[in-house]
Order: sequence, then C-alpha cells, then structure tokens
Amino acid sequence: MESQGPPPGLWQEWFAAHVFAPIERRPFFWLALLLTVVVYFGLLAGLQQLGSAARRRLTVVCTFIAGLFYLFAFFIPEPINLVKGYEQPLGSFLLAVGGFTIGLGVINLVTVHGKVLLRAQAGWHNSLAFFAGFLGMAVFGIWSMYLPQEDGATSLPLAQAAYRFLFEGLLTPLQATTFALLGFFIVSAAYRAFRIRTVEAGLMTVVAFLVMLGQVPLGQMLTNGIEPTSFLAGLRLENITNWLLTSPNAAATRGILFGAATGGFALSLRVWLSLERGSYFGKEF
Amino acid sequence: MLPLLVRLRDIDRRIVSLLTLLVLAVPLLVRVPLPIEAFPATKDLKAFIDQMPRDKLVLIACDWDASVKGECDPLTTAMMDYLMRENRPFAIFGLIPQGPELAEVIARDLAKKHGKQYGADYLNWGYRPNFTTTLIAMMSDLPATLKTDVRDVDVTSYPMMKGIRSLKDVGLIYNVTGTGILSIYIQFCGGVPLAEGGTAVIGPELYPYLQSGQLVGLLVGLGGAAQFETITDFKDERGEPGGEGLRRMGSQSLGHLLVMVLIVLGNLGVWAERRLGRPRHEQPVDDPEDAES
Repeated sequence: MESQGPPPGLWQEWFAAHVFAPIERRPFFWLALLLTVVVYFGLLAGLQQLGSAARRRLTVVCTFIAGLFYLFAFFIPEPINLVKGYEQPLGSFLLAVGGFTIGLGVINLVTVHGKVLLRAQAGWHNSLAFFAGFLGMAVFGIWSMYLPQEDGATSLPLAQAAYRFLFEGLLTPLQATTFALLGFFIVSAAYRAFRIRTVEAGLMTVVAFLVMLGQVPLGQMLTNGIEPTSFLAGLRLENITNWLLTSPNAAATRGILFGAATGGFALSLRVWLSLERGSYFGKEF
Repeated sequence: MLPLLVRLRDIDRRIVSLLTLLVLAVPLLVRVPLPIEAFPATKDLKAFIDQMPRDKLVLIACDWDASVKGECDPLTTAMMDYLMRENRPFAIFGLIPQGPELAEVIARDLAKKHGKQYGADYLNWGYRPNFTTTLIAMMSDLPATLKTDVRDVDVTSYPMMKGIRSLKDVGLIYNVTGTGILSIYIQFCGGVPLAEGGTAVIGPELYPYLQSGQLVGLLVGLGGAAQFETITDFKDERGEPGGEGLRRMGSQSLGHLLVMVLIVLGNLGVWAERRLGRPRHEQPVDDPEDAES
C-alpha cells in the first residue's frame, strides 16, 4: 500500500499555485529570473551594510527559526501539523545549497594550488598533479554524463572509457591501497603496544583472542567437534563470540551512546539558542 | 633460553611487515575453501528478505568509498547477487559521493552475470548531499526530492518505482558503510526496516541497535559478507561456491592468527626480560593504558 504524504503546510497550496508555480511564458520567466537576481544581490548588499552586532542578531534569529521549524515538524502530530508539508521543499532547497558548498571547495582548491603553481613554489608538481586529476575527472566525468548509457556495450565512447579508466583504474585502487597500509600499522602496533601487565589487560587479551578466532573459519574449526545441537553448543567459538558481541559489548556500547547522545543534545540546544561561545581560527564568535 | 626469548620483544618491523604481506597475499593466490558458520544476525537478515513481498523495493544505501572497498565491496556484492537471483528489485543510493559510483560497477557486473537490466531490475538514484535534510525530505516525498536517477531520467518513469511515494514504501534499507551514518537513518527513517553491512571497525557500535530491534539484520566486515554468501549459496562466474568474502577468509584467518602470535611473542619477550632482571627500556607506545584502551 502506498504511504500517504503529510498534509499540506500552512498556505502551502497557495504558495505552490501563485509563487512557486512554473512560469510557462518565456518573457515572464526571464523577467522573474532577472528580478530574483536583483533581489538576491540587493539582499547581499544590504547585509554587507549591517554592523557586526546586527549581523550577529540576524544569525541568532535565523538559527532559532530554523531549529524551531524542525521542532514543530517533529513533535506536533501530523493531522494538525502546519509545517510538516514544508519539510520536502526545504530539503530540496538545502540540497541545492549543499551543491554550492562543493563549488566553494573547488574554488578554494583551485586558488590555493593555482598560487603555488604560478609562483613555482616548493611542491609545485603536487599542484600540477591536482590540476591534471581535477580537470581530467571533471571533463571526462561531465562529458560522459551527457552520452547515452548502453548496457552491455562492447566498446565505449572515448569520454566514458577515459572516465572509467580514471575512476575505476586509478582513483579506486590508489585510495584502497593507501588505506590498506593501515593493516601493516595495526599488526605492528598490536605487537609493540599490547603488553599484558595487569589483570584487566589480561582479560581483555583473552576476550580479544576469542572474538578474533570466533569470526574466522580457522578459529571456528577449533570447536567444530562440538555438535551444534548439543548442550555444549554454547562453547563453540562462534557462539562465544556472538554472545560477547551482543551482550557485554552491546551493554558497554549502549552506555557510551547514551553519554554521547546526552552531550549531543546539550550541544544542539546551545547551538540552537546561540549560547555556544568559542573561537574559530582565533576569531571569536 | 631466556636471553633468546628476550629478543622476541624487538622483532624488526620490516620482518613483521613482510610476515603480514605473506599471510595476507598467499591465501589470495592459493584458493582454499574454508567453511564459515553464520551468526544469528546474518540469518535474520536473510529471513527478513525472504518474507518480504516480491515486488518490494530494497534500497542499498552505499555510504562508502574506495578506502573501505576491501570490506564494503563484498558486503554490497553479496546482497546485490542474492537480490538479483531472487528477482527482487533494488535501488542504489548514497550520501557519500563515491558510494553509488562504486556500487554501479558491482551492479553492472552482476547484471551481466544474471542477465538483468538497468531500470527493470535495479536503479541507481545516485548521490545526494546533506545527510539529514535529504533523508527527512525523502521520508516526505521521495520522487520530488530525487527527481532523476544517475542517467538523468525521471525516477517516476520506471515501472519498479510504482507505488514509491516516500522512503516509507521501501521494503528494506540495507546500509553499507564504514562511517557512523547509520544513526542518521535510525533517527530519521523510523518505521522503515533497516539492516546494516558495516566494516569490522564500526562493528561493535552496531550491536545495541540489533538488540533493540532497530536493525532487522547485521553483517559485520568481511566475515559478515562470507557468512551471507554461505547461507545464500553464492556462486561465482565459474559456478564455484563463494564470492570475494569467502575467498578472502583465508587471508583474514591467517591475519588474525599472526596478530595473536605476535602479541604472545612480544609478551613472552617482556616476561623473559623481567625474569632476567633487566631494566625495561621504555617505548612511546609501550604503555599499559594504551594496551587497555
């Protein structure tokens, strides 16, 4: 059975019909677009004129209203909820805003590496590698997006072949290899750091060995002699491991999660009510 | 004898690395079938899928990148292969940019193996930024939030999307990840059955959700993939039993064994040193607090 969407929010249908309705006639569309751009830059210019205290007040008010929206959307029952219907349009709006943040990241990277390259500073070859990778991925990625995708095609157009080579043949193995190096560090660190000097450390070692053995076939083979249906089945390594993970481990983890959630709740309240004080790169906020 | 044992506490790290390389690489080259017993959480996941109506869409949320490909690839492959064999429709989606791309590669290969078609048997909704707001919006109105798939086609134009108004209409969300993103699905996708395929590193954090019933099933790490492959009778392209998960169990078994042996040897060395009454030379990481944490 299909789920029923939330009821429309307050004046949502009116907004949909009169404000956010698609503009069919070309001249009106361009006029509306022009008006939006003018309003946007006007707002931006207006904000620039504000003093720091006024800007701060505006940020506090916007943060509070945004938090209040989701508070109402979650805690008021659906039949009488007047804002629930706006969750999806707001989500789409924030998706678009999220897309802009990727653009900001690109601008930042291009600026930083562009300066290094133009001034031929130390490590300029790394910046060159960045531009080669960035442009290669962007050009072939966007190009191949606009080509028809054919399942089971024996040969690929140049753009798609180049993109697959860069993504599947270069980026993926490089990233996987870098992370795989961690395995060597873990083995070396376990050997050097795991010293059993206290009873607690000894207990932890025994439990760690049981869990490690119970998760792999070689370990499980050690207790394969015990029939899975016998009264001793609980002593099979996989069953001991499962019990350790689902009981003592789950209890300890739940305790940690409760602590973290309480801290997260307190932090959210402080952010929402703009009580959070601190500094960012030495600048007070 | 004791002076010889003392030397065990300082095995050259190059030897340790070489041993690690050998125990991980050799079993990958020499295929030895190793049977594995499935945990109850693995069996629960299969049982949940089996009782779902045939036409219910499964959402495979691929929130992983190439850095955790070693575990997440087999976890995704095992699930996709089973869904394709069972003729169950599924959609790929991701809140991490690389996830849907990497999953697409897996789906493409499996589609060839099982003779399946994009659009008829599986879809790729692609990547969307902003975890929280995206999921909230998808819980309200899924087609309006997604609009198009990775091929820039209106998602509502696919027959398998019929009846999908919101995430609540999805039969199961199977999240594959090496991050803590599951908590966001749990917070904002209430009422939708959830299962997790997590890397071994995040495994211990996932068990409370299993016990509370917020997860209908759980696969942890490469072992989880191997267990799922075993209980679903996974066959590779040559018709041999087991996929990447089971194939890599030899490496994982020997890797675990090596870690255990090295820990024992290191501690034997420390014990012998104390017996000889030599002063302990400190190492930056050689701290009981570190060992216990």
